[in-house]
Amino acid sequence: MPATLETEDAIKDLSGDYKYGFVTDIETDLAPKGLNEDIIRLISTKKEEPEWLLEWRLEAYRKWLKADDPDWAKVHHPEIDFQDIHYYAAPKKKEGPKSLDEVDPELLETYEKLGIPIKEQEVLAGVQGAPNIAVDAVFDSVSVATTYKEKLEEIGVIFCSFSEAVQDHPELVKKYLGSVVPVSDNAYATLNSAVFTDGTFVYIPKGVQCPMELSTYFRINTKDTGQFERTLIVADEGSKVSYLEGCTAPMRDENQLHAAVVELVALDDAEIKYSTVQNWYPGDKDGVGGIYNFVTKRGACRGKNSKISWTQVETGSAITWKYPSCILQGDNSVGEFYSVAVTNNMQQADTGTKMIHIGKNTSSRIISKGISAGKAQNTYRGLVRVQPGAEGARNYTQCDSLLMGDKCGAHTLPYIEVKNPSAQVEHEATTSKISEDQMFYCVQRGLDPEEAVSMIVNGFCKEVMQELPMEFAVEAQKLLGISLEGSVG
Amino acid sequence: MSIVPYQEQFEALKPEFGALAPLREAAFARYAEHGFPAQAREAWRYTKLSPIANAGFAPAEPASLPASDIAAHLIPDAITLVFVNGRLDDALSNIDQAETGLSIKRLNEAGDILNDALDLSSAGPDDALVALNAALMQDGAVIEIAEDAHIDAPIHLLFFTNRPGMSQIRNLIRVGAGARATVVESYFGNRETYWTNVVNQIDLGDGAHLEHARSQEEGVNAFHIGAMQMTLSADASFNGVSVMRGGSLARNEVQVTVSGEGADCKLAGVSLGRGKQLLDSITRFDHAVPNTTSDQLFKSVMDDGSHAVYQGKVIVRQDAQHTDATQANHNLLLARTAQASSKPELEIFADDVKCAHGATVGELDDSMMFYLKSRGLDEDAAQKLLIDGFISEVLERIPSPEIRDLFLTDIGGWRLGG
Repeated sequence: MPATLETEDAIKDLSGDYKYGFVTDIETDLAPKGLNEDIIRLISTKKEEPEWLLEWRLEAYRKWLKADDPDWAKVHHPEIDFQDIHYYAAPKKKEGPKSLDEVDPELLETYEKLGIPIKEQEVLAGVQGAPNIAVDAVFDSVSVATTYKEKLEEIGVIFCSFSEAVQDHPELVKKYLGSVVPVSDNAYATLNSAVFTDGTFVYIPKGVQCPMELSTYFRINTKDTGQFERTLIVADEGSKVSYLEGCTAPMRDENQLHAAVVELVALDDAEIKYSTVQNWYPGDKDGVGGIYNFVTKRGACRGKNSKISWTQVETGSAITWKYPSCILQGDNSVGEFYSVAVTNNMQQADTGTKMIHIGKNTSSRIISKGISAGKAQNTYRGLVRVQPGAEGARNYTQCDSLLMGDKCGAHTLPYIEVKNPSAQVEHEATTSKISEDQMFYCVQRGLDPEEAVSMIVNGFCKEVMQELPMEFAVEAQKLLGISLEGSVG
Repeated sequence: MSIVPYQEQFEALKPEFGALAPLREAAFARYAEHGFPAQAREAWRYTKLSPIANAGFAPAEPASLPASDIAAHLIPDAITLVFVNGRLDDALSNIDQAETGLSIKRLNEAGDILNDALDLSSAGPDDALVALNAALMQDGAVIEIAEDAHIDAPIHLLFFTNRPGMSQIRNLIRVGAGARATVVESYFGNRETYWTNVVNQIDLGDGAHLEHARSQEEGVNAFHIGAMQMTLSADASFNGVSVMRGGSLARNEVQVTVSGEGADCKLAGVSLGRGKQLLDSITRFDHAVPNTTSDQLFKSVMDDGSHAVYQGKVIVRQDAQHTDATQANHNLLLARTAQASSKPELEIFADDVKCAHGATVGELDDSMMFYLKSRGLDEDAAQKLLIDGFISEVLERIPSPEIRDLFLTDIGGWRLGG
């Protein structure tokens, strides 16, 4: 391609097939479509839940019936028929798989296709000195294998599926469930509270630094199942944990709803790092199919000197609607949000964060990079609020947008609300495109335009990418390239 | 139709409608469809209108005003129109001053022009008060500047209220192709509880240029809702500066449609708040064509329990390549209970554009204060110097020294507690 060619002229439709679009054929235990109190009772019974949890679900369901779906985001989709969804699907249970050998080989194969096999040694092969990763694999709604569990148990770390936690640690679940994201937070979170089937529970006891990165793999598999998982991470005083979450989904023509809730609680001096790479099926280039990713993620820095850090690389989903947030309650607590959101073709992303400064000397940092190509719409929506008591609060926000092509959009909606004069709040944002000079330089050095774009985009996102744990960084960099494939000819 | 606020006032004014009756009827119907905007509406989230809706203001009674009351606010050699309680006061005004190419009419003399110029077809629920204004408008200036006319004397619109009630003011300013003019608006009042609802429509022809300065110093109990709707044709340029410091609840909304290539719109504002004031600035810049530029600079200095709001929006349409738009909002909080809310918003559908925004909120810089004190300045003097410096960036954008000085004098009064 002549190097002088305008970047926008070079934009071409993404024609490559979704690399991870395959369906694993496993017998599933499926609830009938639709949502009513009986379905919720069924879920609760299937999961052998205590009475209080069923009541909690039913209360959420009743609230959901009255709740309106959020309509303020800059996303468009046909109305979701919540009665046309299976609310429970579980792979047919074999007797409690204790080791990987007992796991359905087809399932293992699925994970291998994903590029990150469940066998952690393989994950780490060739990476010298890399920390161990424990994987709690969620297949549709039920956790099928948990590795390294015993090793973690030795030091008191609880890392298990949500269902197990309900059975084994009900006091912890009862104490923290819904304490960060209240049942009536928003309609999707309310729905999740009513029908969540599984997810992950992590508890790090006092003073324990979790020796390995905890990792979960979520997949949506059964046709027409909305996945409603629930994650709860509690870091007790002085503890530290890093949690990775990665997602891919099989190719589908019908839109699938995914409404997860993630709650993080950090007590005094605790630190939680939560990293996400989201690569669910974005739909084809005409916008047919793809996942609706409507997720509520929120962390509470309850204790003093606590820290919660969100890092996300969002490349997938037809629609992304998520705002990982931090409630900075404890004095000197720190909230961070690092985000890369890539949208191509007909994808829509409305994502950002909320930093609520309540405690004294709390600080937050927001770095958001939005990349929009094709006919995609990419919105950053964020709130920084400093409450009257947040003496000495500090925020720095930077959100940059990169536009590739003249049919896409990039929007920035920051809200800044300051009620304390000692706060220092700064916000900067820019919108630009890949300049001809940058392309010319790269191409003139012998890179093909696609490599050049990938390199420039990775450079644009560098501040975020370097926050990812190493195990994720490599995959995420590749993902950026794959997601923008074909956006330059 | 259910009863909406101000329906009675509308019915009462009907006998005076004359030629504008159909326009007013249509405007009221549009307003009545939505009523007063609720805080649930994004554009009104910080401004609570219920005190105005519930007050059901009747038009403010006519009253006379001694010339000495406004003497300090006059611009030398200006063409001055003084409105008292929403109506033009001939004795205090000097419209007759002859300038080639300038036509100034009162609202009730300009029925044809208004029928032609007022377009409420796009007025949505957020513009309900603009529609209400069109239904109830009492007076205002219709200013037309002919092609290529250069009007050197500033045109000064001065609004003074000293009776309780409402003033519904509508001004229309049309600057012809290649023409140049300066328009200044000032709002003053006493301690009565009153409501000024003013809508300015400004149309700039090809290559036209307008210097605009606005000073809002309504009385402490006043409500002030201002809206400016502006269209810029090709190569037109606008330079506006606005000072907002009066009223218990005040809002100034500026909607700009940049519809001609090469057009440039600069807008700067400073809000000075104290007591329990809410000062709300909201802008919407719509870049619809390629090669246009806009620049927004909004600052606030908020004392006591006052609250500054800036909601700025820049829209760059798909065809508007090579748009260069910047937005800056800086807030200085002087007191424990002062607050600032800022939402600089970019909505961009074109890729080859330069758009940036920045926002900050903070208090006076400790190290700067320390430096000044170490040079022998006391706390108050140091603070004054820093605030002056902070504000001057906005006021320096007023090119006319006379107007700038007038504004600076007024602001000096603010800091002394006036």
